[in-house]
Amino acid sequence: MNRPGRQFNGGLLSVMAVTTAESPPAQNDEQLLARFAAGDRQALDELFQRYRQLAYRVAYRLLGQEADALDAVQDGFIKALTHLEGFRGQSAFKTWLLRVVSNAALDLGRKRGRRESLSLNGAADSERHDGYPRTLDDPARDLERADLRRLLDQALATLPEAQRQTFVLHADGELSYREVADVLGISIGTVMSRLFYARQKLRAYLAKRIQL
Amino acid sequence: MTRDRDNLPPAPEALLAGYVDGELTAAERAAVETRLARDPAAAAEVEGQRALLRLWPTVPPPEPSPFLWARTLTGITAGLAVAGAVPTAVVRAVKLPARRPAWFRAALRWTGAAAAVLLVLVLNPMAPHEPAPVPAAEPFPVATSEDVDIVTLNAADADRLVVGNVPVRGPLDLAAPGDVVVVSIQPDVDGMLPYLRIHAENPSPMIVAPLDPTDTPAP
Repeated sequence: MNRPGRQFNGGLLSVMAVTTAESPPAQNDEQLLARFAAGDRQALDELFQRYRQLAYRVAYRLLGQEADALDAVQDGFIKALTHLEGFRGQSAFKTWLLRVVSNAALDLGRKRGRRESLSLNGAADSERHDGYPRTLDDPARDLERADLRRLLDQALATLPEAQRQTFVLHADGELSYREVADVLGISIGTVMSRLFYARQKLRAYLAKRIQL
Repeated sequence: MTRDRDNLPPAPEALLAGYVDGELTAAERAAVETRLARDPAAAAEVEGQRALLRLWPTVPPPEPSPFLWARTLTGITAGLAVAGAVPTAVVRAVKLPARRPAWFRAALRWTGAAAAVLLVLVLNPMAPHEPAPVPAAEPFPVATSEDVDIVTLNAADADRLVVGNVPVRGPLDLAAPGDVVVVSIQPDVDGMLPYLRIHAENPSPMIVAPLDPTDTPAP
C-alpha cells in the first residue's frame, strides 16, 4: 500500500488535498484549554505551537539573549497554565500568557542581568569610522543583520523597564493599547505616553548609528 | 475609534504615538492633524516614529532551532508535571515518579500474575493451560539533562552520552583574559560553540579548567 508521504510522481497535490480535507478545524484557545484541563497532552502542544513565537519574541526583546528568552518562555507557559484562574473571564489567553512571559523575562533579566552582549560598550563598533551613520538603503554598507539586531537590543536596553515592557508588548506582542493597559494595570493614556517616550529614545539612540 | 474615557486625557506629546498607531478618537485625531500642520517638529517626530515601526519587524529575533523548541516544550511539560497540572500519563513520560523498591514491584507483578492464573483455573478447570497474562509494560522513564548530574565520566565515553552534560574535569581557577590561551574549541553536545571573551581589553575575569598536562598533544 502506498503511503501518501512516500509518493513521488504526481502524488504531491493529491496528498495535500487529502491532508487539507482531513485536517480538523482549528480550535479556539478556550477549547484547547478545556482539552488541556481534561488531560489532553496534544492540547498543550497546540497551544505551544500557537503562541511560542509571540512569547519568544517578547521575551527575546526584553532579554536580548536566545537562551534566556527560551527560559522565560518556558517559565511563562508553566506559570500561565498553572494559574489559569488568574485570567479566566477577564482576558484572552494570549494576553494572559504575554503578561506572564514578559514578567518572567523581566524577573530573569533582573536575576541574571542583561547579558554582556548588550553592553553599551559594544555600540561604538557599529559606528562608521568616517563619522557618517550607515544607511539601510545601501546593501554594500548595511550593517549585517545580526549587528542590526544587536543594535536594536542595545537601544532597548537603554529604556527604563516600564517603557521597555510597554513598547515590546505593543510592537512585538502585537497587543492593542487596551490590551497593554490591561496587562500592565495602567491607563491607556499611560500606555500612549510610555510608547511615545520609548520610541523617542530608541530613535535618538539609533539615529546616531543608522539612518532611519 | 472608541476608547473608554475613565482615564485622564493623554498628554499632547503622547497623542502623537496614538496617532501613529491609529489608536485615537476622531476628535483627538483631528486635533493632532491640526497641530502637525503647523508644528514641523511634531510632524518630524511622527515620521520618525513611523520609520522606527517600519524598521522594527524587519529585524526579528533569531529563530531558535527545532531542538531548542523541543527542549523548551519538554521543560514546560516537566514543569507542569511538577506543579501537578498535567495528567498522570504525561507525568510518567517526563518525570520519574516516586517509586516503590524494585523487589516490591516485582513481588506485586508476580502476585498479580499468580492471582490471574488461579482465577482462570478456578473459573474454568477444564480449559487448557494458558500462559499467564503479561504484566502491563511499565512507563518508560525519560530524563532531561536537568534531571541528571554526571559527576565523573571517562573521556572515551563522552560521545556516548544520551542525556546530561560532560562534567568539567579538575579544579577550576579564576583567570584574567590575558592569562588564557585557547588551544582548541570543540562543539558541545548541542553542536554549539562557546562565545569566548579572551581579549586582553576585556577586564572580566573568567573561570577556567586548567589543561591537564597529560592531555597535551605531542608537538
